[in-house]
Amino acid sequence: MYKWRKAKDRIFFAVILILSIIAITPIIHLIVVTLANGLSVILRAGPSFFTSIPPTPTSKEVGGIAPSLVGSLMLTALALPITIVIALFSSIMVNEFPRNPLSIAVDVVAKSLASIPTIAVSMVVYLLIVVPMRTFSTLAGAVALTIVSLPYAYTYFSTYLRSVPEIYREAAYSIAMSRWETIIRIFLPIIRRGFLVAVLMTMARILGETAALLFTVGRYRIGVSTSILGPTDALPLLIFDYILTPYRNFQEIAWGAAALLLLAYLIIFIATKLAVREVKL
Amino acid sequence: MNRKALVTIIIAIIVVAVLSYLFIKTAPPSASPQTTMTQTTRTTITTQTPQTTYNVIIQGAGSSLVYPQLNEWIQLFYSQKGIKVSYQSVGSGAGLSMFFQNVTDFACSDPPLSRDMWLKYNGSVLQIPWLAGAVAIVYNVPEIPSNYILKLDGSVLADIYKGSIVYWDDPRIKSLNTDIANKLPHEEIRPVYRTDASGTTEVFTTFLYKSTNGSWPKDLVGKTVNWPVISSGRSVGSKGSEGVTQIVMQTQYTIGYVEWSYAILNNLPVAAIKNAAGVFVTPSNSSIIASLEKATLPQSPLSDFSEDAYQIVYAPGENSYPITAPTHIILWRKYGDSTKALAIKEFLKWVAEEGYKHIIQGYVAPPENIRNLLIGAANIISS
Repeated sequence: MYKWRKAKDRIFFAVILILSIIAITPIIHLIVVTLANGLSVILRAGPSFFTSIPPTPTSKEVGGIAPSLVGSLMLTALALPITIVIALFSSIMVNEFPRNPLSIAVDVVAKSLASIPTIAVSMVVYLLIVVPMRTFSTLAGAVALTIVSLPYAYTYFSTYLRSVPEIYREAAYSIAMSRWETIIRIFLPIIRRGFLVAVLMTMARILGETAALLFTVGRYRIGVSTSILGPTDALPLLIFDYILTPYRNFQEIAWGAAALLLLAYLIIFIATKLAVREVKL
Repeated sequence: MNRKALVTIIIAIIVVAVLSYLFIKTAPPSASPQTTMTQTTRTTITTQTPQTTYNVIIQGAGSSLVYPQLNEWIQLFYSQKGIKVSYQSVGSGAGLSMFFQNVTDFACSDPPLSRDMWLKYNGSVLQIPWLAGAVAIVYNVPEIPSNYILKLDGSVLADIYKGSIVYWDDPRIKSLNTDIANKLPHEEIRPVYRTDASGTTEVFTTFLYKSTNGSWPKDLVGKTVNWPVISSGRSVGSKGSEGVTQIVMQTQYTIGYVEWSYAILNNLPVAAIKNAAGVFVTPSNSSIIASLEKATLPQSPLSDFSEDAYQIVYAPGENSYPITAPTHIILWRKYGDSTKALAIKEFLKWVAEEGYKHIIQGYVAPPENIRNLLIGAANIISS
């Protein structure tokens, strides 16, 4: 009897192990293939991969991704602070005044924004910003990215704020803290790691978004653009365009850019995992 | 109380949205100081190129088919003339709507403007069939020797895509390929088609329609087609030329139609197609130019080009490749910005004189008559 129970335990363990291996194999495969294909291109190109413009179909050099890299960084630098500020304050408001009609409206809008296809966001921003300005621009891309990432940032912030136990609020009020002081001195310090996670995850979301940029940033690739009102490019767009061409050197650049994005992701995810592990109340 | 608050919020949102919209609309279109170009340089442009730094970016969008070639030109043009051009491959239809919304300065479209569109903008829009490519018929039949070029004609292809020719050793395929008739296998043909809306599909079906005298019906001509062969269950659909290429490379006994450059770069066997003169021709620079020369095209960039794709497909002439496709550049006659107009003139002239010397594999520089159309367009454009 005891042996049979032990055997059942072993069998169950083996099944779980096999199932988990099956579950993570595609991810491991994806990471290995992308890194193997991409890093070899980056190594071959050397530092010029980060400083030169993409190749032409006939060029002998590997070329680089400078316009897209700078574009992606500019877009993130513009979109991330706006998203974080809006999402943080709206989630604080919804957390503090949950029955206020404005809070209810914000909550509903933020949740429904998440289910809008990002290509539709791209079209809306195209009609509202690109057409009146008569040019594609970093600004339009940043606005589209803000709309896309706002619901995610909002959900993260409100989840973390709600996780703070009510006794802390009662304690703060009992020593005559105002509502505002309670948020600044008690709530935000408690969720500081959650705050970091929210910022990092929003950043990952912004870096990897493709469809929202299709009709907004303009795919400017013959030089590095630092203009906010002029067209620029982004890494996911470069990958999307180049991997579909029949040209080998285009595909190589796309692999290199994909590996770079993947590395950025891995770093972000490891950072968030480390941050989450140390959460203590 | 609650309703009042909600109404106030909604009004506030609308006010903010309207104000920001108005602000964006009244803001200057782009930061392009026009001081660099003065009246004097505008007069000298006709004689010699002024070494002015153009502070503009010419923006274009449209057909993905021309993207690799434009990419090549844009970098060369920038290194030689210092003018920035940017091109987005968003597809012909999206490119045209961006152009007519004044977001981009030029559009590239595989099909020309329809007659209705052309009439609507008559006199203010220029179009030139400035590049040509071909649709290659590719196949994967291991039994056919690699040094042999499979011969096919329009009616056989039409029946393959209708589903009435089922096997590779069909007597009609055998009669076109008598040299290898005994090598053709008794295997089912698996036709591959494009599932996305595509100019390639339109050109291929136009060829089927023209070469079979209408036995391939007119309502099966277009960007997306309800292929009759789908009901047989033998066919495979795929997205983009890259998707069709992948399937033909990986699956035996398939046949498909792809942009010529995909066939070249992936070393796929390409069939020779019977043209209007009854000769079997494979796509090549000379056979594509031949069909462009033989087709009757309008003489001015302001003319109606809506029929030119139909003219070029299955064009007369012994050397003409029958599934040749032009792709068009579409421009305004007048640009509000004088710097931009000059930069675009420069670009068109440069393509006609220098750009056509740098054509990449899979594309063909058009013959003399079309170069003249480009130069003509450069002279017509004004600010």
